Amino acid sequence: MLADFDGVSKSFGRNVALKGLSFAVPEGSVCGLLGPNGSGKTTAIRLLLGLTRPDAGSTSLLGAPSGGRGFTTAIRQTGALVEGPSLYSRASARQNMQIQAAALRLHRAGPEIEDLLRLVGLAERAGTSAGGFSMGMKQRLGLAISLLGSPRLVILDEPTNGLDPAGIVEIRELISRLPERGMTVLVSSHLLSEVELMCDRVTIINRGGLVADGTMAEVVGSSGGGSTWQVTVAEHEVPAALTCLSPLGLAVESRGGGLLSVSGPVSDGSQISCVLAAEGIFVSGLSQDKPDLERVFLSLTDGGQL
Amino acid sequence: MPTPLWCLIAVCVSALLGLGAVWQWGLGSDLVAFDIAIGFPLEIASVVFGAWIFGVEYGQNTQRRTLTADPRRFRLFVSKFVVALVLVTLVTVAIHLIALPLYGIAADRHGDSIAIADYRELVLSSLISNLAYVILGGALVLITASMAGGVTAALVFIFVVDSVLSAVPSVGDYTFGVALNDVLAGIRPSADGLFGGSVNSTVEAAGILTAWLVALAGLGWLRLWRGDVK
Repeated sequence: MLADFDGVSKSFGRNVALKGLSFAVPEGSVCGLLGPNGSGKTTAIRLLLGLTRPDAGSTSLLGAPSGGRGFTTAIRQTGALVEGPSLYSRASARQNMQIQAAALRLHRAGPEIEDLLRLVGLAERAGTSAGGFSMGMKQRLGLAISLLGSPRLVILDEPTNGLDPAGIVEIRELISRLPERGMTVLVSSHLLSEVELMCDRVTIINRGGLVADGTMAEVVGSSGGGSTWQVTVAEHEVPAALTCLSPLGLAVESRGGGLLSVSGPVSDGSQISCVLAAEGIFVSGLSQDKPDLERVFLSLTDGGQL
Repeated sequence: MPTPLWCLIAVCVSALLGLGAVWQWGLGSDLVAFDIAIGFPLEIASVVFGAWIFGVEYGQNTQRRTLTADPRRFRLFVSKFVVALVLVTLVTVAIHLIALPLYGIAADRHGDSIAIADYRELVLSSLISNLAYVILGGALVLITASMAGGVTAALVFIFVVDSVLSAVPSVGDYTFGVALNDVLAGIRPSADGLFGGSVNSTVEAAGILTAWLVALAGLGWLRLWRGDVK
């Protein structure tokens, strides 16, 4: 495990940010860290990086306890973009990267810096002061800085903030490809659809506690109750359809206009149409509402409310 | 423009104004023109520079980036202070070395001259004073964890808290400003300090001044060590 939280609790005055949080990020994964605003995502990341200390429990980075023995080596193999890019505004994009390379003691980092600037689409603005960059450009530069030195673990806090739609897609694809370069990624984001597309694992926290953790398929599949089907029949046949589907143990609800919502252990939509056809009711529309991350997230976090 | 450059420009402008005054009216007694035109501005610039070298990280939120590249906070603390002390030493000496011949030429118009021994004392006392103030500025930024807060706290400390305390009988002999003045008076007996002298010897005053600086820097270190990085 490259990042490990073990019963971590943290409070700021009376505000409880984390309560006994435990989860781990396995090597080679792209792990999404989700939660409503104020749920403790950034605090968790800051604890992992040793920027703040836990009140209870412990975190470890690349096997080294945060702030303990081996932590300096571990953090040098970790790239981070926390709470937006922190840039020296008077320095150019290239100089910002050179400063970070010096801090990481990377010698002869010039070619890597140019490669990364190209990778995030800033090669042509490399000599421009970072203070004059748009939010999206700053975010790209912050991402490039976090990738300096080919870290084993990359921690990204809202990396697509301020990016335009094309930029979001570009950064998502870039993050998805990082495991090919031997990097493991922990990414927090509000964009659930993006997380679903780029992550193979997901951890959801709410009110400082863990509510779901596992592979994307496990977490999305954990919504329970099987899938929901949208069935359309002639409006005058709705009462008959309700009568014949309800005894089968399915939860059937009329949504008006001949639309029925059918939930239950149905693996194949033809089962529904067969039952209805046997009663002389013919289906004019049949579609499955597959559980997605957004639905799971909202159900696990009380609609995303704190 | 970065803060250190503004400080340097302010010191240079002040030194040039002082040079004009010496050209017009002469050097004055006890090299007072140097104290007013170069010494005092350098002290203020030292406070601001000491505050800036730590505060720039708070102002731009770059401290978290620095500490996620190398988490050793003590190393950051020491290296910043070393850079501040070395730069202030170099700038103090350089400015005085440049000013000496220019002020000498200007003073010569009025028949004034500058003894090398006096000048040596002046440079040394300015250096001690600037080093103390750069530590004070840096420490107060660390204690307040804010660039603006640190500069404000430093100026309030120097011009309000310390000057008020220095007027209190007995207690006043142990304030930062009085201890610094005692040390400077030991190096340069002719100089009048901002807060006047005390009953302490130069060695005792040096001890008191060191205690102040260690205490302030220590508190700053504690805040950096234990505090959350924004």
